[in-house]
Amino acid sequence: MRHADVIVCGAGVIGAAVAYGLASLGRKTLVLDGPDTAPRASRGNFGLVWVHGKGLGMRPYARWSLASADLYADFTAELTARSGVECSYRRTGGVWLTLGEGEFAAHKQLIARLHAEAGAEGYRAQLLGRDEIERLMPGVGPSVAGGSWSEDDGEVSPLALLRALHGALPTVGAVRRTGCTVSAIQPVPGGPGFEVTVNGERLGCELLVIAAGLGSRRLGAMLGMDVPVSPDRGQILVTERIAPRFSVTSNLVRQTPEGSILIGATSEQVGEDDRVDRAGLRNVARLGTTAFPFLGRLRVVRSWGALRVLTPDGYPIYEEVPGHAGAFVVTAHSGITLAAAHARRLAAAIASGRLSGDLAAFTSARFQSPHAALLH
Amino acid sequence: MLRYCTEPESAAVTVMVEGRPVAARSDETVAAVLMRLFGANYRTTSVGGVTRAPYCLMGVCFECLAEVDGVPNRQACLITVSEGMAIVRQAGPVTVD
Repeated sequence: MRHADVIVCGAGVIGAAVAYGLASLGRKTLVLDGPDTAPRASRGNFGLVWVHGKGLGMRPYARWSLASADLYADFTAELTARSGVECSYRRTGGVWLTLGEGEFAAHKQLIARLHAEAGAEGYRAQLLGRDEIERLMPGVGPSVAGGSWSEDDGEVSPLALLRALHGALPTVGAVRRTGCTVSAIQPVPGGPGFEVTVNGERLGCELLVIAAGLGSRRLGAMLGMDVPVSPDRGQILVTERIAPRFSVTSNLVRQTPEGSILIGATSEQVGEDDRVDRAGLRNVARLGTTAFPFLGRLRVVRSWGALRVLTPDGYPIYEEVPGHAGAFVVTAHSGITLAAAHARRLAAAIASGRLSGDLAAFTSARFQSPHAALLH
Repeated sequence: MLRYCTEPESAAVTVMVEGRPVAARSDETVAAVLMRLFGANYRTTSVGGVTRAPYCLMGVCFECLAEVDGVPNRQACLITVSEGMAIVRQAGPVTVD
């Protein structure tokens, strides 16, 4: 029995954004949120809306990140108007800090290659010397050799964004159901559509979106698709609140509008363990105090770990499940940055039933290629 | 204004609140001393300058912040007074060199 036009499995920032977009287009949308025990990348994010330095060897991803950032101010204003939740999005511009001459040299090459790949389209990133970084972010340490800058980058409160999305869903007629565990997905025999078994209840839909983070692997397998995502732990430190000091954001530290300074993050392959540990937090503290020695005089008030959802090359997977027209897999590590593009562009493509143009570049078929990019 | 609901014990300590000596119970928290002296709304926030009061009094909300022995942004609800402790209310931005 048909229960909704669309069922979206996953109500993190990716599932919620796609569901919001689909519902805005008039599709009757049901969003399934997992149990409280599910690993939730959306609730552990650093909060960057980051563009520059991404997409080496994958121009569609560079363009897609920029498109999302360009939509962000308008998108978050719309969510705030609908939900009453302020998302604190600011397109401050972002500094990519490098530590040590070796890291800076490698970074210069990366930026040069990104400029070359962009060609006539242009690439808005420029190299910065230490003095220029000091002007943008006062207090930079002696080990910071240089970095890069782009006005495209910004930051958002990721928790507020998720709350705004959840708050906006009912205003476009979407229903979010919490505490859901999907035990089976089956195509309707002989016809379009799918039947999703949720907490023992069978729910029918025409379109299906699997956007369940690390859970997408299990759900994809129900339709015979391998969704190659694996957990990558990041640990983050948060300091006490101080007077506004940084007016721009960066890849290592950022100051929230309330005054806290976030420092991050580790990248660790430790399975599904999302706890913090002493070694990880020590590394984060070292990163932060190397970049900005004054951080060592601040007190840490919180720390946490969370699991990134990584594909083998770090880029998203957007794909119609092979052999199952109407079922789509959506997974990305940059769910915050891409939220606006997911809601406005990807949702429209899914509604049309076709991922074409740049979006066709993101299928998992690229992992079968021996030339698959290894950098992200 | 808050006040003791039982008589203070005789073995009290003396703390220095903004330079003046104040008698306190030896088991009293810094937040309690400040609320007794100044009322609950004894702090303003670092960025917006908004008035705040201790909310949870159990170390979660970070609204009771005060400068204790020269260190700003300390959780006053988690610190028990000691003899000679220097306590200062915190108003507006906390800066760091």
